[in-house]
Amino acid sequence: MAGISAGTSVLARRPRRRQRAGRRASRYAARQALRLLVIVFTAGPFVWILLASLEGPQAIFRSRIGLSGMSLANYRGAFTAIDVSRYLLNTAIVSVGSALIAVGLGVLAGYGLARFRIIGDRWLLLAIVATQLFPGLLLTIPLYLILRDFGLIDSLLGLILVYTVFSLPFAVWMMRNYFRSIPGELTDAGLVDGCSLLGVLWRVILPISVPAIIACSAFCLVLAWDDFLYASTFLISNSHYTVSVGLYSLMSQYGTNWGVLLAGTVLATLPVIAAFMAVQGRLTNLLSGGMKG
Amino acid sequence: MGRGVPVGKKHGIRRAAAAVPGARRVSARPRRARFVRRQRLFGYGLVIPATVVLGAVLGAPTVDAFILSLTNSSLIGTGSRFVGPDNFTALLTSGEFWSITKTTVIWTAANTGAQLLVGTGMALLLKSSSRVDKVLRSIALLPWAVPSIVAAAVWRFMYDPASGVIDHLLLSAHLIHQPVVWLGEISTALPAVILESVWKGSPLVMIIVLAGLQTIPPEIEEAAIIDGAGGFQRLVRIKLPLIRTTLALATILTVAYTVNNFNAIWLMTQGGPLQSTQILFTWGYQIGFQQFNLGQAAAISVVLFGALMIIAVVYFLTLERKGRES
Repeated sequence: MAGISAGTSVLARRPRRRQRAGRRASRYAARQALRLLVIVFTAGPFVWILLASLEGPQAIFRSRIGLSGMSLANYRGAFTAIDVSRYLLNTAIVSVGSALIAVGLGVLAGYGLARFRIIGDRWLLLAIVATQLFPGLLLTIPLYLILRDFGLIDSLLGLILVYTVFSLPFAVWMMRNYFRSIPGELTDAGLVDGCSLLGVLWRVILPISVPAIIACSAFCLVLAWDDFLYASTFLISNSHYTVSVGLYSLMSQYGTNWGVLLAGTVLATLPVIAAFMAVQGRLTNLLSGGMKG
Repeated sequence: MGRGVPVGKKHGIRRAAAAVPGARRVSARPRRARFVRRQRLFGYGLVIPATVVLGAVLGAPTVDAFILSLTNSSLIGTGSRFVGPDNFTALLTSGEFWSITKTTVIWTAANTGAQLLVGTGMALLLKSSSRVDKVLRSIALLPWAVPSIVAAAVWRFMYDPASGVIDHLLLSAHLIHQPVVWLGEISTALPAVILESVWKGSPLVMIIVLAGLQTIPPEIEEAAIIDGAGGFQRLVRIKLPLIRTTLALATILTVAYTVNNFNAIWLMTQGGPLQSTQILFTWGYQIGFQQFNLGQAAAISVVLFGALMIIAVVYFLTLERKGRES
């Protein structure tokens, strides 16, 4: 912006230059203030609960939150009063499990759709796009009945299956768009060099697709990690709870124990931030690629 | 189509099949036919597993839901009888359905409008490729990345009348004289939940809009500057019109996500107080899983499905048009 405005001033007539400079300065200040506002709005609440989670119950109650009485008592409570480590482990199992299956199937199908002639591929793509807009309620009820028939209610396996289905369309879509961006000559070269069709995928395409696969996995992980609806509908016993359901059981009790809840909230956020760091800018590119179709 | 590859025109192996064995066309014709056939089978082999899984766990339940909506199934007990369109007539003639539909529309419109505004604003403020902006964008994306339960816990804590920072600040500024129970009053509950979901949803709009802005060639903006267009003019006359398809996509996606946003409402208010934050999704869920009336709940979900599929068709047509444009 600043560079662009400097260019303008060369074209500007001399007497007006000072006036323009003043206006530019105030515009710059307004822009910076708005940027600050965006960051405070998006990140402020996180800083607030992080600080609050480190406080004693009295300070939390009176909203006197600062850096004075830091203690890890709430975090100790999260591991003793509720079994947050068990919840986190369950969540990790279902999200990693479903992400592995979804990305595996998504890579295969994405490659197939990007490179081969498939009859009805446009209908398949339309269905995949449509699933992004599926009403969750429509699936919740029959899925419950199906899982009940297969004895998969209150089971982490059932949940893995459900999450796989929800992240698979996105994985297929994302990987297809990525594979289409790889020049076809690469596959041709592999074939000429004597690779089998599967060999080309395994030895030529996959090695250069690692960043995209990581980003896609991160997305599937976050999707499963985010869920509350299906976990709370399909899980019954406390020892199978994912972190969402576990923390919700704390909230719904009368008189929430904010200290423990906030500590658990921070703990549930950390893996997401870690996954996020791993893919950083790439996620933005892939997501936008996914949107751009 | 970011890279200008037209939909439906494939390259790669298909072209290889034409080019490589084609070089020895005369002698290798039978082998080439075999190669093409094998390749075609291989393509299907790649796509079938995903299709089967999607069909079994997504397609079958969808059909199931339509059938259920025509029965009086209950979550408890086994008796299930075909009742025809009874569930739908019961739905369409109940005042509750229409008042909740109204709330759903308000919820969706307010969320979509606010998220588009905030998200586009965020994109315009944080769009440069500098390292600072990259970091700021990652930070701004956080609300979208965290689980819904985290977002709900954060906002419920801030809205809490005893411990919450919002009441605390308003009280110390003497703007209110006693704590407001934001999520417990009919007049404030819906706006309070909307604020939470705008906070969580806007970053996604930001990403989509950023992707759109990246497709504008810098020459266009330079030309506008030379012609003397100011910053606001460039935004309204050039940038926004150029990314209008992107904005349309963002709108449709946001509408769909918002209609489907069970978590925000359930985790904050469960639809209360007195149905003031009840949307069709949460209502159907209550009828199905708390009142065990699966048939009625399925009917609600079918109505929602119809509405969303109309949106899906618009979405796909927009994608298609965008593909043709570029």
